[in-house]
Amino acid sequence: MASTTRRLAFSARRCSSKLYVQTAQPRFSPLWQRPLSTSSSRRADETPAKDGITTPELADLIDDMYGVQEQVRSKSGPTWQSIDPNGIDQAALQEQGKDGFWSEGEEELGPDEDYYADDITSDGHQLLEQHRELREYARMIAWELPLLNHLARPFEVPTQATPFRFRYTSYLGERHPAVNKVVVEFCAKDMKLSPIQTDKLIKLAGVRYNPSNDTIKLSCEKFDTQAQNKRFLGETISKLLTEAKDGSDTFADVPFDFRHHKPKPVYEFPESWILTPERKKYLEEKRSASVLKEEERKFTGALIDGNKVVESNLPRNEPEPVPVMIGGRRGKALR
Amino acid sequence: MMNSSTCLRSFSKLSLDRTAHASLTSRTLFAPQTACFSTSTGYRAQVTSKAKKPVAPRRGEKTLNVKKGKKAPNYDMGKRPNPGERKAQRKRIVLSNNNALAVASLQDLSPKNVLDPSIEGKVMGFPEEIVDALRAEEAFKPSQGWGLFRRPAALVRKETAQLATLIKAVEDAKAEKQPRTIRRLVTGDLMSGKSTLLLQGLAMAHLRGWFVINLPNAQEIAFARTDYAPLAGSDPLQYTQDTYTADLLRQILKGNRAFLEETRMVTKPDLPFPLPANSTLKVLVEQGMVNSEFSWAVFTTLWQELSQPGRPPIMFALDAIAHVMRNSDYLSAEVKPIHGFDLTLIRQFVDHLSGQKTLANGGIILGGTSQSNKPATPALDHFIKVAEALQSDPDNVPKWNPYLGVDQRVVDALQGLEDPKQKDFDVLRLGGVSKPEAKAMMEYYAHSGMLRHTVDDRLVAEKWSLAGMGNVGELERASVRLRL
Repeated sequence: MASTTRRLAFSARRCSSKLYVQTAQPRFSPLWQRPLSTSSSRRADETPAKDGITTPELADLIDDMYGVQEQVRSKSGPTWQSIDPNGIDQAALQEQGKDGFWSEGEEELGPDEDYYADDITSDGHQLLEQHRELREYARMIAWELPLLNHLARPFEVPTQATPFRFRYTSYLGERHPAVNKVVVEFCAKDMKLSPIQTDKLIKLAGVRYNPSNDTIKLSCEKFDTQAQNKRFLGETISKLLTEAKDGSDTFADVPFDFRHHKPKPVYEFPESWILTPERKKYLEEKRSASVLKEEERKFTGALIDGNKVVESNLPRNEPEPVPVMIGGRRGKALR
Repeated sequence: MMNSSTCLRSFSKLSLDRTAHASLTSRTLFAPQTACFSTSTGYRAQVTSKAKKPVAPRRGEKTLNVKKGKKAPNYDMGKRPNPGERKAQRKRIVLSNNNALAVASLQDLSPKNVLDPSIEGKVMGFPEEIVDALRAEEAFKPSQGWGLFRRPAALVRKETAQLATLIKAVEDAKAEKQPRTIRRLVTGDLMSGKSTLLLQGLAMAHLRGWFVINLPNAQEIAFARTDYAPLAGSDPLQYTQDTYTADLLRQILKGNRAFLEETRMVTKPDLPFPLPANSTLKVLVEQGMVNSEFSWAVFTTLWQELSQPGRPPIMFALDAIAHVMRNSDYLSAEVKPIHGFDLTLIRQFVDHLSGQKTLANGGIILGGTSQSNKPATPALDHFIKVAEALQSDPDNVPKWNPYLGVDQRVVDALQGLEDPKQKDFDVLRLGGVSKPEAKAMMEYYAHSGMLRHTVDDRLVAEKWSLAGMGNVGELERASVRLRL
């Protein structure tokens, strides 16, 4: 039997040392905002392109946006600049709404909040808030999104120096188990290996190799952050490459194993089936000739009709002679 | 002499008597743990429920049923078929339908016209004596639609004409004293008429006076339902199937009676039974038929006789060949599976198919494949695919999958299929019939009164398409069997 203190310590350890939070914080920091990419740093280094955005242009842009803001504000009543912050008793405002219902009737906490039945319900407020939010986004769509076009850059084909294609997934700040997953894809040919080494790399890659497009695809999500996963992928690739370059065992005796891959059949419309005018004409002629031939055969009796064959071969159904009574009924004389 | 009660008491306490257990260790002697002999436990024992259990009424017996809402079991009171009756029904070969009309315009195959290319695309009837021979050789299969028509007839399709040219080639080679052994594997889709083509080949061989040996189903040879025995003096060890071989000799006799009756033996074989000198081959075969233990010796003797100069070419056919391209269901004395090639009959066939042996007077070795009943034989499938690719698309020949189990003996036997130079060993691929061929068939159906439609191009095109571009079995199904 453990001592009392020991038991206490044991039971204390059984509960989490953390505070329980109803809405748990996301496990991972929202890394999607800053994907692990070299492009941003590269972009920072390089001088802005001629047709790209320049500093004076950007200043004009910001001025434009301020102008738009001013216009919007001047139309809708007093603006935030026109309100004098000194005119409001800030302390009283803060005091008043601090404890709400729980401070009612307590003299030292100030006068009670009065309700004059002239406000809408909290549901109504929520609905209004939602409406405001929607309007805000609608304004953004109308005024700000088109300006993003200035930041667009033309697509650049990846060069030989960047053979790895990484894929990160963003769920726009939402929690998701795959936020930390990183996938890398690269072409076995781009690794600048000799044919024997490439073969060995393909054999080492196993089911991760796709023979249809000669790519090796690796993914990792066993670490908590994208950076760790990406590092693991990089290390794995470098290990694979060193092993592929190791000539002590070239795996030449092991046959390629592509059993994991089922090539997708691609069906092409047969060229001979395309209805060109010549083909249409040919088909028309063929059909009309066939119809003519059928007519001819019908005329000469060469066309075989299964129904007629059966009917003509059935035993002839001659009406049986009906016996006629010579006398009348029941032996009486015919009347 | 003790009285009976004293005797019984002392007997009942016998187990307590320490002197009676001299062999036991001393520890048990101090505390005997055996009970005294008594019959009372047996008397007091509960009567087992087995005796109390009500006896279930016999099947078909009427009982009073007091349970409400529960019907008495609805037994089928009909008489059960006798043992073997169902199988006989299933395997029955019906070659005639008296309700079908006789087709007046139907021509028969004859020794003259059978190799004539002009009969291609026509439906030709089989003469009666050929039907008997084919029936004896079990060339007709129960699943085929012979029972739908007045008498057996088959379309001479393009592939049949090809087979006819092969027969002609063998005959021509024999006339030039350069006997030729042509080997063909008949392949094709399900119900594409592979077995029927085999049957047509046998029929043509019969008509041309060839010697015909047909092994109707390789499964029956390999699935261990007949007796087998090791063949003395064979290395590697081979196994004979005496009963099966005796039965085969019976079929051979029925199929080739005329030749066997008129031909006399020229060799002097060392047979285990007396045979009159200069006897006919029929006598020899009958000996093997009657005494099944000599059947294999008779078969080899017959083969030697057929190899003598002046004898006819041989048509040797085996259907559902995949069953022997692997281990058979037989076990050796060491309880190891026996390979299909170690069965003597199959060995005879495969040796000739692979080209290891040739027929002295020429002939055709014809192997049929089955799509509905085939075991997994990766090697056979691969070689068939390769041979088909060599015919249709030589630039795109499939490669052997190294991760499949390989049967080296099958690979060795079928190696020739990979070699495009070996013209004598190839596959005969059956596709769909062409539209004119389909029309000829459907006109025959209409003449037989089985297809009650006007057979015009429209109907032919419809059924041909429904049958998957002219698959013969599907065509028959769509136009004759299926009634809408």
